[in-house]
Amino acid sequence: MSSARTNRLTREIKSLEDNPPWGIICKPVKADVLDELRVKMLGPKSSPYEKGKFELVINVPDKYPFEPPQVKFITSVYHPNIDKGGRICMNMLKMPTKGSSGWQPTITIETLLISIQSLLANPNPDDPLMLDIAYEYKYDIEQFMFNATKHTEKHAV
Amino acid sequence: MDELHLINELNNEEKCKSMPSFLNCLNKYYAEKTILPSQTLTADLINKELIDEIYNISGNISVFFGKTLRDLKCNLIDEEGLREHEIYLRYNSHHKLTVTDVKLPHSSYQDREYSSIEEVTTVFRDYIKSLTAYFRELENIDDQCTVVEPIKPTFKDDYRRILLDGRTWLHIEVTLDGSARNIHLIRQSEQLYDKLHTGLLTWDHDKNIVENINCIFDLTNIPENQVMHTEKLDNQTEVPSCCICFCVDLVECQGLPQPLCQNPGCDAYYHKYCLFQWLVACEGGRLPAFGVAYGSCPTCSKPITCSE
Repeated sequence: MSSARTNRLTREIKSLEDNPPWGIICKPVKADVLDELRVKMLGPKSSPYEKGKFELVINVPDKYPFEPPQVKFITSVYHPNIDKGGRICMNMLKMPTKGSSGWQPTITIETLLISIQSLLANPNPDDPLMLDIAYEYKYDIEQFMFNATKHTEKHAV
Repeated sequence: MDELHLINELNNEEKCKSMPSFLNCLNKYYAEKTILPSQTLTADLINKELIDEIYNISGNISVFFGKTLRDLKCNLIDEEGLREHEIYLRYNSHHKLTVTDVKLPHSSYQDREYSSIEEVTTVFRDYIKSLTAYFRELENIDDQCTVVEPIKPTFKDDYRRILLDGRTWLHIEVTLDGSARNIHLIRQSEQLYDKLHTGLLTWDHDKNIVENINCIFDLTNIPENQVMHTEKLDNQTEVPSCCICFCVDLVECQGLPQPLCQNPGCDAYYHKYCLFQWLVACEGGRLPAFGVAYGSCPTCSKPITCSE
């Protein structure tokens, strides 16, 4: 395992512990293994997720930071860009391609988690993972708000 | 072989089941056996002739022992009496000494075998004498300029990277006869590039390297750098860390993070190693042709290149 990876991960995890961003707690599953991180995330204020407490899991690949970490929701989320298995559709989680931006090695786990938190508040229905929810978000926002709040109450409170 | 046989025997015996009883057996064996006191040992480690030579050594040479009797360090003061050079030696066998390390530019003298310390010092004294101009130029650069690389410059490194301003370094190599070669800028700056190129045409070979550098980049630049340098020493965190691994020192990569992006508005520093790894990863892990990877800067997304 490269020392670039270990050094960087150690720093990142320490900074997340010492100075956590609002509503995000991120810790390694086992104290000395930095490959798997467990996250507790509060839903953003004034969104249908605001009462929710979401759990995520981060798998850090061997090639990190030259490859993006794999992030998944464990808690079920009603959201156009998050599927039933908790997979998240977000550019930042993919390698960059010619046409579009993506993961960059300058992005930290912290910025990644904050982006996911703000994705909850601001879905991107034009690049959906759940077609029906995206359709509902676009054309019947009230129904979407109702469903999302209900779903959050049921699974994430 | 005797011992091996004994150990096998001991292993098989019933009474040697536990560690203390085993050690007891072993002890008994050695107590009965007559061992000649270290006759063979010393002759094997170092020979008497060499010890005598070290004992009688004189002049401006001093010899030290290292970790073992076979590792020697020989300090040699040059004829001017200015510099002390350390030559690390290893005694391999009778009349066979090799040079393990010396803070001098690499030469064939380092790869041959010597029969005595005297031979080593004679050869190296001549070599050091021939390098006087080389030493003087490097000392001048180290004294008067801000050297960013190598981190701890010695005479072994025949190059220096000098800080011109916060973003641009000058790479300069010193030949063994004390002239400069392969002078170029690390990280482009159009203004400094033009200065360097007109400056190289008027390079004065009668002046020393530092004087020439001062002529090219204005004398006024140098005090400014010294101020920056002292600031840097005062505040260790001043050294920018790599935007990819978030460190300053990295095992995989020699050297400090550098401002590798050509975009003057981008002030990101990267280790060459880290940036190269990233650009290769973007291409699906395929190593680039000719060792130069292309891609975009992870910070400002402008085009960037990086060689391994």
